[in-house]
Amino acid sequence: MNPVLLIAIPLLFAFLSIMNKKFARPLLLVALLLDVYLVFTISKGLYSIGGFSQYGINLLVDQYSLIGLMVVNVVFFLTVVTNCKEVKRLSTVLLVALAGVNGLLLTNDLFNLFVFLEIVGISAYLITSGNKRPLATFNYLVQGTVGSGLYLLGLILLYSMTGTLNMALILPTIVDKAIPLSNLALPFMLMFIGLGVEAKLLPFNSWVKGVLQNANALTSVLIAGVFATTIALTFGRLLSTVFVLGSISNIVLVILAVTMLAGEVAAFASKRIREVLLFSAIAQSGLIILLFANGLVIPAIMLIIANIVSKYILFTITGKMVDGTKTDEIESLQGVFSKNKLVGFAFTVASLSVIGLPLFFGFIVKLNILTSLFSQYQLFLSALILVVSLIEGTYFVKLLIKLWYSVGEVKTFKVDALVKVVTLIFALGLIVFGVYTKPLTDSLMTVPEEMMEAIAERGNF
Amino acid sequence: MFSIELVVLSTLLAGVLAYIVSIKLPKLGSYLTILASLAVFSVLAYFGFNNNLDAEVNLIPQFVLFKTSMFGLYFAIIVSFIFFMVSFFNPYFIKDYKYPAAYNLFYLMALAGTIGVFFASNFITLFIFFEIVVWTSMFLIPLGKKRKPTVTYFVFSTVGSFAMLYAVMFTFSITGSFDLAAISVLSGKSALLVYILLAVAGFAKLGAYPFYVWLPKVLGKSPDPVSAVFSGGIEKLGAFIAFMAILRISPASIYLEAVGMYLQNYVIAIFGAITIVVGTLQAIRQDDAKKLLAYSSASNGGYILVAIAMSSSISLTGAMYHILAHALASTAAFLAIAVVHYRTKTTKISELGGMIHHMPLTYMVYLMAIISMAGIPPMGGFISKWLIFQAVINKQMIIVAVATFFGSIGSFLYVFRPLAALFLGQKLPKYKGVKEAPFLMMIPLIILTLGSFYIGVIPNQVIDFSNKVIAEFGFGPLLMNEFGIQGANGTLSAPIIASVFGLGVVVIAIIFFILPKSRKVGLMDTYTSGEFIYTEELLHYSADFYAPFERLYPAKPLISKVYAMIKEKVNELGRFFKYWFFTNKPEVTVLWIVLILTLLVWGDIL
Amino acid sequence: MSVILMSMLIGLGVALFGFTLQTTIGGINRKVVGRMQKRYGPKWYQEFLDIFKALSKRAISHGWIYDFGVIMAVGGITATAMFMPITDSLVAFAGYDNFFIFVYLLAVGMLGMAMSASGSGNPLASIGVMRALTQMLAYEVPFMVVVITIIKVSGTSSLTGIMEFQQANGWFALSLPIGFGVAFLSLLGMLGKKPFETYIAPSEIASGPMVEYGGKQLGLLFVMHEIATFIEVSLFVHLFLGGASNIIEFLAKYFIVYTVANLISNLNGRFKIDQVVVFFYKWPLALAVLQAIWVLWR
Repeated sequence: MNPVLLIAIPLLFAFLSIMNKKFARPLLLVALLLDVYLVFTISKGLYSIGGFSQYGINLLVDQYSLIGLMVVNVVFFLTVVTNCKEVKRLSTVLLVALAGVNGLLLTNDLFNLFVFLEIVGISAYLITSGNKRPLATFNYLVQGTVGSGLYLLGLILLYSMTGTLNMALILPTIVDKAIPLSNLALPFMLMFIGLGVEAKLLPFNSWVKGVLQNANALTSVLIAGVFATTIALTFGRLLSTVFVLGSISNIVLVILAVTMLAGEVAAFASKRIREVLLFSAIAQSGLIILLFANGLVIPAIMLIIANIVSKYILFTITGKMVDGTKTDEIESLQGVFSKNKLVGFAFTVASLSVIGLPLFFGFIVKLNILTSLFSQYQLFLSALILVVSLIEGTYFVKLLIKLWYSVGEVKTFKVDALVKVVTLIFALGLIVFGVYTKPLTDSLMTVPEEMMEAIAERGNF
Repeated sequence: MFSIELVVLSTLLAGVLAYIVSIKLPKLGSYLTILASLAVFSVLAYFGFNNNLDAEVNLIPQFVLFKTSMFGLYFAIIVSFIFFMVSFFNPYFIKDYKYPAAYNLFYLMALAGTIGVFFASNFITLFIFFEIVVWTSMFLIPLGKKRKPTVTYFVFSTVGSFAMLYAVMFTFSITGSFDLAAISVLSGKSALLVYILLAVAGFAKLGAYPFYVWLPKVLGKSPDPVSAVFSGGIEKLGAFIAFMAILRISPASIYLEAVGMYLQNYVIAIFGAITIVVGTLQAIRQDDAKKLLAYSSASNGGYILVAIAMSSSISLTGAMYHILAHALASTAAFLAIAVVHYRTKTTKISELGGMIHHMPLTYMVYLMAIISMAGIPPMGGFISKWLIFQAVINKQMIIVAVATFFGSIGSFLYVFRPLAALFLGQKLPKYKGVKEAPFLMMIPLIILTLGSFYIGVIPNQVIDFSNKVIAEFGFGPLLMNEFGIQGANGTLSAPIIASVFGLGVVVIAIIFFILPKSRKVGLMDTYTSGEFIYTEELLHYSADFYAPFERLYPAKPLISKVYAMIKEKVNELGRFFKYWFFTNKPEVTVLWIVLILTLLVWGDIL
Repeated sequence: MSVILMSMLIGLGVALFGFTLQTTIGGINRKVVGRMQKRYGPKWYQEFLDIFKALSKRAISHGWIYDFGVIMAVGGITATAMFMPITDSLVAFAGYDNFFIFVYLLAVGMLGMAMSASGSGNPLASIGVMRALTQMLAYEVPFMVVVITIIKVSGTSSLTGIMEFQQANGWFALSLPIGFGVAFLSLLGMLGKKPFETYIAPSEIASGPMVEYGGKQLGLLFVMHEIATFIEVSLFVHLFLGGASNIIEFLAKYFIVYTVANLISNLNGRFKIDQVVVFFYKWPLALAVLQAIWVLWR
């Protein structure tokens, strides 16, 4: 089946939903179901739209995008299902967002990527506007626009040098034409910054705080889980197959390392649960991009998967908790889990996995990351990762202990059965994959080769 | 044959089972912990002594590999024994816990984890189980009086385990192997780095200077059985790592002629010595009996480190012996205090008094335990301290010797405090009707005391075993003859000392009982220089026991200020980043983008 | 087995000898001090009379730990004395007269007494015990540093071995003069002689640990005190003054050491307990360490 359906169906349904508001939510669910079904049935290959294989828009389905599509669509679906109430007004926007997300994961064209980036961006602004914090949304809008503007600028520069927008052709062209690296620094840096805004990298990410610290379960999971994963994967593909970092690699590495450190220490210094989680998310995305920048695709994908699952659990539960208790001060949330043990269990498992303790998936990921880094002899970077994960562990443990043990009165909140079931299943998944990872590692094994093959094959045009 | 894998897995399963049972019947679940830990201990001891443990791994996937070694077995038997002994206390404390089911689960998981560590064949296995122990035991802590120590424990443990992880990965990047033996291949600077990192791991877990800060917090505030398990069992993981680090890696460095050892070993010994002194000084001034014992644990860890660092047959036997003797004695002491806590609801020495009249058996257990901890014959601690002293003198490490002697004499001071003020002294009326320990609690108390006594009188079996252990590290056996242990500068005969002591006591007892009988009077019937005092509290000297001595040194260990400062700095850094990067002003972000681009272009032009 | 039984009997003999010796010399010393202070002084056997009188009296008991502690204390000290060599050939357990046995077995006795005293319920006794333990922490460390120097130099920790070494190579009092001085200060501390008698301090805390005792308990603790003094002085003689090859030599050296200590005691006032600690940890410890480094690390 053609992967373009993954983009077309949601777009079509979005139009339909405008016609009749009543059917918006069912349409969204149907579109999501169809997409999930499609994701598990499409076959790998390069699909060109309109038959212009080299000059037109290409969609690439390889192991990498397939894994991304599966994770993102499933989580998107579950997020919508578990937040039915909040979805109502946003159905159309979410349909558009779905199209954009799938497009970003599939596209093999730099300009097309920009278009999808804008689509995702705009739907993200609309989704966050539901937080009723217009200033934060406005900030996001401004920064997002600046970001995509810079991306576009870089794109134009790159196009003027190479004459192609096809992602698989850029590297071969650069080699062919022997373009000096110093010329490439500016366009790549501009594109890096542009994507960096969306990927929450440090100096470009001040929007995150405003948006996420007031977000409900739906918004936060979508922004910090689904969108973040999509952007990270897109970024990853660019870093692995398109960008030649060369002289800017030092700046990039510093930005990423500082993002990681800043996220963790800021989370350490925070007193509100959503703030803690959002800073933690920033640090995680810094780490993910850092891995991509070092060419460690497999650990990065593993981290992305671990991240989206645990972020789903953490943000969903936090969202419901904040809704129910009307506060997100950790001090006043003390002991909440003593009344909601199942939810507490899922939350605990997710955070232990994020910390990277054994028996949980996060541990496997951490081990994988460190093994790969050490096989590159990256002594400093791995030391930094260990230091920040110590900080991360500290505030998560502090948080967990506070949420489980109360001093004084305990606030209560209600969680519907569906959320409980889904978070529990995810939590169990983290445990299962923490103990038995063979199928996952096997399916990831081929990813880097396939990515490179695409370039190598296309380079012969 | 019995496979280690099966032991670990079935302990985990037993934990889950105990969890499920405890959801409805917490007490029954805690009885399950007794059974499970008994099973683990007896299987390990029986099959281990007969060399019948099977290291093969069939069920656990991936890189987990086990191997049997006398070294691991020694630790595994001790620690599982401690878990077993302490588990007798679980049924009595379980009702006080907020999450009893979780307690039973984590108790057994921590046991499974420790077994895994001791039988690990490669570093990844070691690390996995090490971390399992860390996080499972971490969740046991907040069930006690306070939540905060949990975080302290996590931080210090994680510093240790990350140091170890880094060392492991670093070794892997050089040798391409995770095998435990791989570290011996290292040389030069990389060997030194791995040595330091693994030493840090051992230090952190053992609670040695400068990482001892977590011990008093955690052991002082955890539920009583957890404190006992930490002090007697889990802490010993640190000794295990330290053994491996110090004995298996030989980084090239300066050989110190005067003390006959390499510089890095000497540094470890000095840190051990500092641990002894700091632990002793802090233990002396504690008012909480559990905290006092916790500091004493730290200081005893110092002895173990000193002994390992000296790396000779005598010193290593001393270290092995001390691990066993301290495990038995400190567990017994903690459990005795747990009984007091259980009956009186307090562990503050200044609030208690005259407990001996309510619980004589507990008192005797505590007395024997502290005799062992202070290294006085005829208990196990004496032999280990004697061995360590032999080695210290033999290596002529004068500075370290000062510390070990100081710690040894100082231990008289601190162990005596609970004895004098908590158990002895005036019988306070507010504890009228307090009863002796319940039957089930007495079992481990008595067994531990007898064990401590046995190894203090007949050291042969333990020394035979530890000779096999040190042979694995390439050291010759410690010589034994019929009556004694051959040290560097003399022989020690524990049976003779014990029997002479027994004879002395018997002779004097006979004389005592021949002499005219005394008239019994109450405790308030004492010489008071003519004052009339009718309240027991006023005649009870228990607060600020060593006040004149305590005045001589600062109350708070300096190092804890350093840790507080580090925490504050991280917080500050966090606020700094929040202020400069996570503002609500988009123009700041734009400014950063422009700055970075300028930097780039500028760099290009240059 | 019979060897051990024999040794045990000899050991009991040594303990009895030590008790008699020290009680006698203690009595003589009271006379010496009396003469010094232009008094007549009591009879030389006055101490025996005191002890036997106390033993024969009916007294009070403050509970089982009060009695048990006394038995443990005297039993422990007796056991320690049983290991003590008197001359280089007269030793009950040849080969097992390890220095550390004395240090640690002595501690059993001390612990027993401390326990009994605290068990009496009198706070003055507890204060005395506190001071005694603190003082022990003060004098023991410099002393041990000196002793390890001796052990390392002579290559053995057996007292008879150390004696033989000195008989061949000269007294440690001469070859390690600094250590000798330090150890003598420590000896004063051990014996509880002024200026280190803070833990007894009769006018201040009513003789501290002993405040509650009377009758047989007091008598036995006197016995204990005499034997402990015997052990401490003999240790000093064996470690620094070349021990003794016959009993006369031992008696002579013993008498001199004890008398000198006693005379010095009578010329001094009393330290406060924290002053004792500071005193010992300043010069004696530093000197002992310096000497050890000088002798051993050279």
